[in-house]
Amino acid sequence: MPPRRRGGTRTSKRVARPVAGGASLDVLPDEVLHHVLSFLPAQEAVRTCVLGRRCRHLWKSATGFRILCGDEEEAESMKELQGFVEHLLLLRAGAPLDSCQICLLDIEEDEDDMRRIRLWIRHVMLCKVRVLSLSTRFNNGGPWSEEFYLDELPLLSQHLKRLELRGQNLNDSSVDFSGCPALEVLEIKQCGMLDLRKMVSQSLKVLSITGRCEFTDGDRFHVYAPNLVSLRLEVWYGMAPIFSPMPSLVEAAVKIDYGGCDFFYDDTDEGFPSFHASLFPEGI
Amino acid sequence: MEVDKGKGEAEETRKVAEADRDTVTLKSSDGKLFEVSKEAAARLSTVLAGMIAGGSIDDNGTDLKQIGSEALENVVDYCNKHANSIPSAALISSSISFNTAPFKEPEEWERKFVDRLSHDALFDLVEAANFLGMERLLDVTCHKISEMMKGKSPDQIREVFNIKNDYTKEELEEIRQELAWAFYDD
Repeated sequence: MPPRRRGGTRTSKRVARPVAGGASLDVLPDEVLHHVLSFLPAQEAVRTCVLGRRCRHLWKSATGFRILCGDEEEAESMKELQGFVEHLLLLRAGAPLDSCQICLLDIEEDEDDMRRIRLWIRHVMLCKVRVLSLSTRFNNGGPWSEEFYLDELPLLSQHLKRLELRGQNLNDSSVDFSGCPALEVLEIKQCGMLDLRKMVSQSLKVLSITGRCEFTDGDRFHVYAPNLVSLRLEVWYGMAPIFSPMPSLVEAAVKIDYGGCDFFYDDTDEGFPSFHASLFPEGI
Repeated sequence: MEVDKGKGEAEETRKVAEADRDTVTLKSSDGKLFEVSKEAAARLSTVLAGMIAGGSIDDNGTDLKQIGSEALENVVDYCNKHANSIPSAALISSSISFNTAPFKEPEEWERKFVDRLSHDALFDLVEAANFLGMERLLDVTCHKISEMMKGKSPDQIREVFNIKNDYTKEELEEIRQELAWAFYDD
């Protein structure tokens, strides 16, 4: 065994703060450091273990992690990322998560990789994640992938509070939030919504559908979110959804782009009175 | 605390007046007083919300012995700025960060707010946010610290944050082997 340094007093959790300059990370409690690590790319968070003894196992209890893949990231492909993520998930042994960001850019539409991403999502849900952000961009030239669905089964979580989805193809299962009673904020960007028939959430307060989302040009899909407080909707292509009554709604911003079936020219830049009426058939 | 009998009635009146006030007074460890909007304090801090709801707010300054005046001033400043920067709809639910940048990223004004702080002030503020249960301020301050670490080598991080490397060479070697998957070592 290597000789240990006599550092007993120096490594105590709370050390006297230097008078000026050089504030030491040592003064911060573990719980704060766990939170700091949650903002780093996951690889960097794990590597803080070499800084000093106190930091050795901090990453295992980080309150969140960010898994990033792309040209500007450490892992440029799913293949490079895969081993790291598997180690990370297994070795942190299901410690509770506050937040998780998975951002995978310019990846291939590979069946195995897509299955893997779904499994990662399942895993972080089991870690009681409260804020989940999933961005995907596939090498297919389009804003979203026809191949990649979030999952065949609806998400189930007592803890999920905020969900951000970008670049996926959504189906009825992926937007059935009956099993997520704590979900309050849902942000959808650049997603395919061509197959949707309905979106359901009793708890949702803020819904934002922006970016180049494609809606069906067949039957409008229905949004059942009776407790919505704030709505932001941009229809880039297809027919806008229909909303069930939202008695608590305080503000709504709706924008229909040229590709939207509900778009029609008006002399003024804003205001689509007849359109609004059709979106909210039972009133707000 | 013992209340003077003769002052009983006055005390009652004071309590009623306190309940009606729309600010609360906070007292730092070094005895300085700060006023903050009661609404913002309750919305941004779970601890202050609990104290306000439980009636344990002191008109003459609620003692926050763990927080120094500089940090408390920053906390109060943050609360006031936050109250002015978010749309009214967000006030309906205390926990919703409405229209904020994606994934817990600080907004522009929040970035500026922490960018001007010295290391010491930042660390004091992070501890104050943690102590007061201020989720958003904790996010903003921890995010700032993470940015100071991002992309840096272990030696650079140790230097910036005054961390002693108390590992032996052998221990470090052992860790790098154990966590080779995170170092992409060949």
